[in-house]
Amino acid sequence: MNLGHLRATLWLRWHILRNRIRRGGKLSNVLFGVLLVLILCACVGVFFLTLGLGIEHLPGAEPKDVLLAWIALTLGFLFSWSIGLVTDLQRSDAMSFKNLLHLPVSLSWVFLYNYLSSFVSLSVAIFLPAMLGLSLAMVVTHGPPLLLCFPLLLGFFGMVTCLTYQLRGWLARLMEDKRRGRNIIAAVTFGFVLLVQLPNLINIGVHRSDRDERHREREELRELRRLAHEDGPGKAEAEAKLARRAEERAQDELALERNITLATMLIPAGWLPYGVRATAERRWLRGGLCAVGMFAIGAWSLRRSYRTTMLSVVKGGGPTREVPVAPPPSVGKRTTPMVERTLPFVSEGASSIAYASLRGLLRAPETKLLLLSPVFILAVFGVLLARPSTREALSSFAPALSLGAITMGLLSIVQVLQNQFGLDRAGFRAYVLSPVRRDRILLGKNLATAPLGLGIGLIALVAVQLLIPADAEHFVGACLQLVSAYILLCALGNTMSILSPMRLKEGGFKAANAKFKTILWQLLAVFLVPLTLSPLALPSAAEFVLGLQGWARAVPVYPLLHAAGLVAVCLLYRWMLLRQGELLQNREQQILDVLTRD
Amino acid sequence: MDLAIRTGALTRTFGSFCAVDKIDLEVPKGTFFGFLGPNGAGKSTTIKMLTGLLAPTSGRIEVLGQDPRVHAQALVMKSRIGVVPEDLALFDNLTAAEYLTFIGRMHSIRKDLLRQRIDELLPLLDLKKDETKLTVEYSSGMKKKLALAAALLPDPDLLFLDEPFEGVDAVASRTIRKLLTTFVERGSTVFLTSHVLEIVERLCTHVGIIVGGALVEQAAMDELGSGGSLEARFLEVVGTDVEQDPQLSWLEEPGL
Repeated sequence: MNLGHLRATLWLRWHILRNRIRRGGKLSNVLFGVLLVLILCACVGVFFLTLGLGIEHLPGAEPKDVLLAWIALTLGFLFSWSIGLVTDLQRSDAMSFKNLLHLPVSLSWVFLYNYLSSFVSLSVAIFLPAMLGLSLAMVVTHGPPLLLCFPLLLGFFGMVTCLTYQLRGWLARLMEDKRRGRNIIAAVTFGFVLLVQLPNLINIGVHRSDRDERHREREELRELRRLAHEDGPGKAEAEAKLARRAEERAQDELALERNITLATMLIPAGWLPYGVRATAERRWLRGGLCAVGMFAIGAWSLRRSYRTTMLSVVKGGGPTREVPVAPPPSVGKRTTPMVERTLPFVSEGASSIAYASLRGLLRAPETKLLLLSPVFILAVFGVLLARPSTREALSSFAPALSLGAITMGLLSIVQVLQNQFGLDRAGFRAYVLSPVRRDRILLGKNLATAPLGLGIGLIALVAVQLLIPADAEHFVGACLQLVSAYILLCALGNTMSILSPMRLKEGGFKAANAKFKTILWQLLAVFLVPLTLSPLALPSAAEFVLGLQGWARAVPVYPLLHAAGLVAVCLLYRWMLLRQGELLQNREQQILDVLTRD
Repeated sequence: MDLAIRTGALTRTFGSFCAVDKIDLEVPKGTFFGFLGPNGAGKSTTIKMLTGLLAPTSGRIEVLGQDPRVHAQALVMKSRIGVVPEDLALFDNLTAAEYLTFIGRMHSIRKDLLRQRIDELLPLLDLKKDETKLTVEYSSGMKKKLALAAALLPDPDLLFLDEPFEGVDAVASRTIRKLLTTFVERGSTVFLTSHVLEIVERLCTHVGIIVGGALVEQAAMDELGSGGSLEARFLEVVGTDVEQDPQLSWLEEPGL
């Protein structure tokens, strides 16, 4: 790539951006501008903040404090970076190789350009100025030798971005084999989210028992201090115990510091804080080695990434492997394929849509990724509820807990419910062209997501029942409540899907070229979920009132009220479905335009 | 004359741009109608309006006696037509057999008949060996063939085909041509857009030519002017000077 190529590339990027802004609409552009100004202000702000704080506090700080400050910044960056990584797991190059392959441009330069473009992220925009500010403060307070902080910083960012770029490139290559690749993406994301959330789960689960222990210790310490201050008979003993405690604590802190230092020395992600601390202690060799190590990892990773990319681009495809041939269907015993099955009491059209959509949903990696969130919600809340003290405190709120569990469970699939046609993409055209009544299309769509919604809700209910058991009446009532909740959310979701559809990028639930207004409506609808489900709390309130009168003992009020509620919800849903069908018919061309527009 | 399609002053604008400008189209039943025009002339926009994929800005439409803008009539019309739209209408995560089953069920075709038709269509269009692949894994030609299979599946009275031969190999193209000819011979109607004039000339009984959103020609093939040659007539109405050779200044200079 020569200077002319670079200028042409920058010109192209600018024109793409300009055209996108032109097409974005006034409101979106204003918001984009405001966001850009805010980010710029944040960049400058955090730079001067860390510079000021560093100049103020670093002169008197011990090496371990310097280490902790840098660890905090490093962890903050890695956490923020990892969120961005999960959001956009597969690499999307700033410049497509396919569009440039036939042009006289050096591919290595295109690769480098794409790699440098991957730096453009909010995490880098916030944490790089923060770290630069702190590094400058280190130079100001500790003298010019601390200029070594800058190569360390560069090495760290180089290492993280190169490794990420390599991972994203590898995933992009896997994606070329669409069926296998997309499942791998789901698995990798699952593993990645689990890894990121692991400390949180450990903190909630394991540390909570430690916290109880620490609370007891603090109480004992307060008592010892009181005894030591008073001139009573236990003063001497209390003082001796306090001294012993102080000594133990100092030893603990020393051990912790040693462990942290060791961890930063052994884990490459910790080489930045370790290197800065070593440099602050005038141990130049260690600091230098850390910088060299990070540069080496970054360079190795970038080289690997380059080779993989070139292999993929030049050889024109991903890993070569035999396409597995599906076994021929067994003769005689023919099982009915899912898309051929029919649902009782439901029209052929709705039945067909329900099964075909469910088939598609179960295969879509997007759905597999979506189903991760209830797993984590269950894990986090399960660990919380598993504590005896929590169980004891919440045992009298079983009905409220069941509604909470249902809401949390259903919230995890609200993205599908509120944008029913988003995953169909061009397939929505088949609905527009179909002779099926539009209310039946909506019914089919709602039935397709029922196994997911009701399944997740039921698992949540059973989990709550196992942890905080309620009597059979309440459990049955909660199950009826779940069905009502799902139907109510379907009614809300249908309206949102018709009025505010969003085109989704392939492989995820990320909106593609969505207008700000649409995103705002979708967000608003998420907040409407608890409000929509709030009438389902009425049976609990009614049971409470009837209980005060003493009537609730004679009849199973709770399940009966929920059964009545379910009937009312079904009638409301039926009434709404007919109107939503008409609305869909009126708006199907606009929806198609949104879903298929590039 | 019994008409399969009739439009009156059909218009579609996008902002200030008029894609289709007051066209009066008449397609007799049982004909093979070729709808021609240069790129961006308004062919696909017209087909979208006729099939209910796009709402017209103004004008009248009648397809098989039904108005696609009236909801109840639109459903009746859609039960009697088959469409291969420009950007297709496939679901990424279904196999070919599953997709065809879905379409057949949407048209309320009996299960045994549906299976029989799918079993005939897939091998005929050379999709049998790839029937377990997801449509997202298909090449563009295979997608086109699958879309055509889906359009033929409900045995429609009228077929709308937007560039059906684009990306399709020669063998499949021949099969499709034969299928369509048989389809018309039994009294059904085909409305086809294509850039390949030879195909239109060989297959179509009637043609319409649209240029800049306006319908400039509509006639039976044997009633065409310019000595009956479709290419000559097309170039004439499009406004290209046939006599003038295309020239590029640098190609006039001697090469290496």
